[in-house]
Amino acid sequence: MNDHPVLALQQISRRFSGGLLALDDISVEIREGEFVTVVGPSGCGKSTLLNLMAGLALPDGGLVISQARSPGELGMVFQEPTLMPWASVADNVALPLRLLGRPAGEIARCVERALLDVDLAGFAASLPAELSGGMRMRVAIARALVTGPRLLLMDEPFAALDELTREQMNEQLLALWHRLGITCVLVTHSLYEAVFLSTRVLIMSTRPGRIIAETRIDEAYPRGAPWRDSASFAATRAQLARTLRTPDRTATA
Amino acid sequence: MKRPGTAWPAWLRWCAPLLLGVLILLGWQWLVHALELPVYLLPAPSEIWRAGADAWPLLLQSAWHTLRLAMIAFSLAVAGGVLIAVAFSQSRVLEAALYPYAVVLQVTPVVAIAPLILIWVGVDNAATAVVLLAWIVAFFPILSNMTLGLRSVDPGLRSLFRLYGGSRWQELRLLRLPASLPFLLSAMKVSAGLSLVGVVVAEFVAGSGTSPGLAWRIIEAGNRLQTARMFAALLLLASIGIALFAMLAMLERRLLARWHDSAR
Repeated sequence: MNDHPVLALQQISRRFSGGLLALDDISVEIREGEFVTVVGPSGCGKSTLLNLMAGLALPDGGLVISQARSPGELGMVFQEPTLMPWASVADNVALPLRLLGRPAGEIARCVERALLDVDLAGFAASLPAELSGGMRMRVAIARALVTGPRLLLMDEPFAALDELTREQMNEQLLALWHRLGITCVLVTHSLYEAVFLSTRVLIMSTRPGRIIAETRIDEAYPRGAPWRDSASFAATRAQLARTLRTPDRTATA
Repeated sequence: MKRPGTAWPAWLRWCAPLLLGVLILLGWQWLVHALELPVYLLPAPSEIWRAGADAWPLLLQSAWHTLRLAMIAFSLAVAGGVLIAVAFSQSRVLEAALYPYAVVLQVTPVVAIAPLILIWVGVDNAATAVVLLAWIVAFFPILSNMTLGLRSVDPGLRSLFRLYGGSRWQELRLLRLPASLPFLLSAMKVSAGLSLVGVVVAEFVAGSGTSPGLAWRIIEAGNRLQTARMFAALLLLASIGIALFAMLAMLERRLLARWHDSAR
């Protein structure tokens, strides 16, 4: 990790089409190699914030400065796997490269590597309907990684999965992040997930969404069951929960 | 007792309607003989069979003519409906401007338009008029469903295309067209039947002694009080409609079976 920001948001505000203020005065820097998690109550604008980071929406005020704006430098995983149901796993993973107009040989190589990364090498010809929920989400992650992005944005990707699959996916994601050296921003409802995965957790207030607290998690990687079961993990999680329950408080831990 | 949610065996799904059909035919045959109904009022199934067998070459020739016109109208309806729906998906202004006129065309009874079409294409070109009228009837379900299908795309996938700078052509080819396939296939099942209905209605209106279609055979038989032959022609028409529907349903299952809930 270094201090070079991949993404910087400066005094961002965003209104919904009805004029309702969704995000207000958000300033945050995401540094290269970080794993930043954004938590907050439902409807606080976490997904809107992620869309602004991805360039899928524009702010009404403030600036988004991104070093990962060229197509392919930024990968995104949505709440649902959002796969093309008629296309095979390989074709789904290949989609970003096809849209970028990459040659067929490169596409085949990159798809094979991405599927290996998420342990789905034997499922290239399968259709999404033939896979489990966890496997479909792994396909979505492979698709986001296939272009070799600098920045990976994830919008509650594991919310619909059962506890056990979710834990496995967390560990797999962490291993990928560590190995590929990418920068990750994850939006989640789960404090458990936030504490397990992140180098830094940003806590948002209720609408209009603002960042009311920021917590650094200094536990070393690789992280696994010992970290999950530790007293320090429970204490950090409890502290985040207390901050979430105390609205409109600005704090930095 | 059959438990709810248990699937019926395949043979029962085929046998039940067949058995019911046989029972109805037997009841019909018995009723006609028991009440001594005149053959011009309600012929017995055996009379219909005999009339059909006697006029078989003529009926088959007429059926082929009607089917050929229906298939031309159906193909044009699919091509036109898909092309116009694609144009609508690329331009909201075009859709806003044209869609109301497509609705007007759909809700105006084809029988009422027929004389106008005949004047325009000329009485000597009855086949062209019939195809045009059948196209008007068959085209709207394709346009309507295809327009809906091209719009019914996962917003997440659309975001993904934007994220990677996908062009409108790529979005159409890789996303919107495949996503609209279930809508198109469903509309094709309706449209095929409607194109047959359209041809028959148009033949009734535009047809004359020179028209060789099944509709004219029905009119001709009616004028001569050959009710059994009328029934035979009607049965042939219904069989063509069922065959078209069955073929398109099979195509739908084949194309969607692996990925779409409707075909699994």
